[in-house]
Order: sequence, then C-alpha cells, then structure tokens
Amino acid sequence: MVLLEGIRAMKLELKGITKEFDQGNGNNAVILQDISLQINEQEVVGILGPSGCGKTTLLRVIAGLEQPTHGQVLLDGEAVTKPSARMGMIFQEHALLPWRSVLDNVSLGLEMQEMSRKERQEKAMKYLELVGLQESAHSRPYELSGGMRQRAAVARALVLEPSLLLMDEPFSALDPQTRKQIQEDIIRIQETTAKAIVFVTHSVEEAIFLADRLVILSAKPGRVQELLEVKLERPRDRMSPQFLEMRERVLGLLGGG
Amino acid sequence: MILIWQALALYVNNPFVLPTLEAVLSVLLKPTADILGSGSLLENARLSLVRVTLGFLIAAFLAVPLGVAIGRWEVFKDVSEGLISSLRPVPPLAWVPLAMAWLKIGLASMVFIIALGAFFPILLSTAQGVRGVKRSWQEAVSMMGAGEVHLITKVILPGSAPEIWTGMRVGFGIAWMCVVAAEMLPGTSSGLGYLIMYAYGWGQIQVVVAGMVAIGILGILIDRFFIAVERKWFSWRAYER
Repeated sequence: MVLLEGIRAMKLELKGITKEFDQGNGNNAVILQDISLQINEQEVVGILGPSGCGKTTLLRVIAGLEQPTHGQVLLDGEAVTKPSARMGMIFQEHALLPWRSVLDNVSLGLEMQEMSRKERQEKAMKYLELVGLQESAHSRPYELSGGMRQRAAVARALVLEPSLLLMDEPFSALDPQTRKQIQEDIIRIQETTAKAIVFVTHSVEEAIFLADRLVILSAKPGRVQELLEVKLERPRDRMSPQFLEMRERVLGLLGGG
Repeated sequence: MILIWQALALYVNNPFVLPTLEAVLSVLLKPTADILGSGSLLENARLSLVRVTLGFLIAAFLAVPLGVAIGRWEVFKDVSEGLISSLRPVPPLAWVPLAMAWLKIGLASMVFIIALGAFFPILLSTAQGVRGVKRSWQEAVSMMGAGEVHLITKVILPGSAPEIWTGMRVGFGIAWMCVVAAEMLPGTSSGLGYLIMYAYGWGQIQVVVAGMVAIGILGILIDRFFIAVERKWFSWRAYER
C-alpha cells in the first residue's frame, strides 16, 4: 500500500544521469555523474552546489534541452528526449521575445496550439493576473522592471499548464527586496496551482525558503552529495532560529564539499 | 555646395561642361515635360523605379529563405560558402554581357543585373541575423513545444528581421545604382540612366545634371523610407544586448 502510493506520487525520476562534454582533445569532461533522483507530485526541490557542479546542466537535461550521455529522465513515467510543453521553464534571463507585448509573449504557446485569439488572450490574462501583471499586459518586455519581466516569464511558463515547473537561477539578477517579494509569490502560486517545482540556485537562503527538499551537488564531477528535507512550517521566517540553523548546516555542507 | 556649383558654372560659362543652376532647375521643375522625344523626367523615373522594385523583390524572395537556411543549418553553410565568396566580389555590371547573351537585351536582363546587386547584401545580413538570434529565445519557445517550423516563424524570422531589413536597405541602394547603370547600356530606350546618356548625346548637359539630381533625390527618399520603417517596427532592437 505504501509502495503503491509512492509510485502514484512520483512526478519526475532521474535514472543514473551522466553528462560528458567532448573537450575536443579526445578527453571527455564529466559534468554530471550517475545522478538518480525522485521528485514527487507537488514537491518543491532546490538544487544547490558550488559553481561548476553542473546544476544548470542538470536542469537543462531534465528539460530535454540537453541529452544525457547515459541515463534517463522520466516525467510522469514517460521518457524525456526533447523540450516539450509538458514542462515549463523559467530562465536566468527572462528570455521574453522583445518584439511581442507581454500578453503576446504569454499567449505564444497557446497561439502555436492554434487556440483562437480571444480564448488565448483570456487565458493569458488569467495567468498575468496570477502574477500581478494584468496592468502591464500591453507593454513590451523592455518597458518593465527586472522583477516584472521574471513575473511575465512565470506566467508564460504556467499558461500551458505544465506538469512540472523548472527554474534556472530565476531571481539571481534581481535586487534583494524584489527577490524576496517574488519568492513569496512563487510559494503562493505553488500553493494555488499545486505544481511540482525543480529549481537551481546559488542562494542557500532562497533554497531553504522555497524548497521542501534540497539536493546538494558536489563539484567535478557533479554528484549527489546530500539530500535534505526542509521541515520548516510555512510561511517560513528567514530570521527564525530553525531557519538560520538549517542555513548554517547547508553552508557547512557546501563549504566542506 | 550649391553656391560653389553656381559660382563655378558662371565662371566656366560653358553649358556643355557645367550648366547653371537655373538651367538644371528649369528641367527639374517641369518633371512632366517631354525631353527630346524620349518621355518626361517623371515617366522615366517611374520606369526605373518599376525595374528596380521588380529586381529587388526577386532578390529578396530568393535571398531571405536562402539566408535563413545558411544561417540555421550547417549543411547549407558549407555548400554555399565557396560559391558565395567567389561570386560576391564580381560587380553586378560585369554580368552584363552574360545577361544579354542569356536573356536578350531588355527588361529581363536589366532585372537580372538589379537582382544580382540586391541579392548578396540581403543574403549575408539575413544569414548573420539568423545566427545572432538569442539561443535563450529559441529555447524558451521550444519549451512551449515548438517544432522547427514554429521556431523559424515565431523566433528566427522576427528575431532577425532588423538585420534582414538592413540588408534590404543596403541591397536596394545597390539595386538603384545598378538600374541606372543598366539603363545606360546599348539597347535600352527608357529610364533615368537612358535619359542621361541620351541627353549627353545631344549635348543637353542640364538634362544630364537634372537626371543625376533626380536619381540622388529618389535614392535618398527610398533610404529614408527604409529608416522610418526600421524605427517604427524594430525599436526593440535598441534595448537588446
């Protein structure tokens, strides 16, 4: 019974992911080595690690933007071999198309699915409201602040109702105040949409604030060094002793890695 | 400039070498008047514009898809690189004898020369523009489930449109020079280039200069049009990178 539940609840499975890059001199650099992970429905997982540990590469492999040298990525039990709308991705740089309005950026995925104009605009608008951007729907991306652009990118990723949301250091370019605000919004959105989220960050605080579970990678080659559950009550207080203690512990692991 | 011209013209005092401002203006201000039985200035300008537009459109229809292919797929790049780098330095006018041999004297050979002039700038800037389209844009759209066709129509083409447009602007400029030169060739009997050569034959230098001024003004107006469109449609370009 317990086992059955475990199977049903699994969202994403990584099976022995190894990624090598050809360095051009006959040698292969091993970026990721034998990474196996299971991520459950509605779970928020943060990937942390020293720079050069291949955490962004791991996220790109999950997304299907890169192929693993060995191993397999399964989303809802199906192999991931190329990028698809089953996953929504938020990039480090918003990656919005500057010639389209915010609304047209968010509705682009629906446009390619040949949804009628009226329908897709209504749906896009709904997600813009979710991220608090309805007022800026007709602006161009370059007219928005960095935080607003990332919100638009969140709406764009959610509009196709993906099974899993991926975020690659999405808030690293934002100022601390905006960053906190958008982290809180992500939690709120996660609670309303009940999406599983996998994100990469170099901020320990961000990882602990958002994640149910942390994956700590070691560098060269990137391997799973430690899996940690974050058992803090939500909403989380960044200044609480438990939070700070967790932070110390993770920093210790990263430093010692 | 105009003052120096007028002063020089008065000093030279020979309408066969350098006509005065009034003489040239008198031709320019009557653009619908027939000149030496070969049609009016306006009529000849219209013919030149039709030819250049025809040649330009043919060039654009060929160069844009080919440029996208070269910019996007390595295979096309490898195949075409040698051909392009050996053909591009040949001035369009050097093709005249061949053009006349293949297409006979007339519209077809002129349009061929014009299209050749416009072709390479459009081809090269399209390929360059396509290569410059941000990878993150392509990845973001492929995460929406886009296939190659959607990537090209929704990201590659709009993303490289500013470069394609710049290539068209440069290409049209060259095409405009080509049309005038092509019309000076034997066998033509209309167009601004023809008018200039014909008037020269009759010693009507004021018509020659008026024709040159008309060519210059039209060239500037066309260029202004390209710049205006660029400002209106591609203003986003300034905010990138």
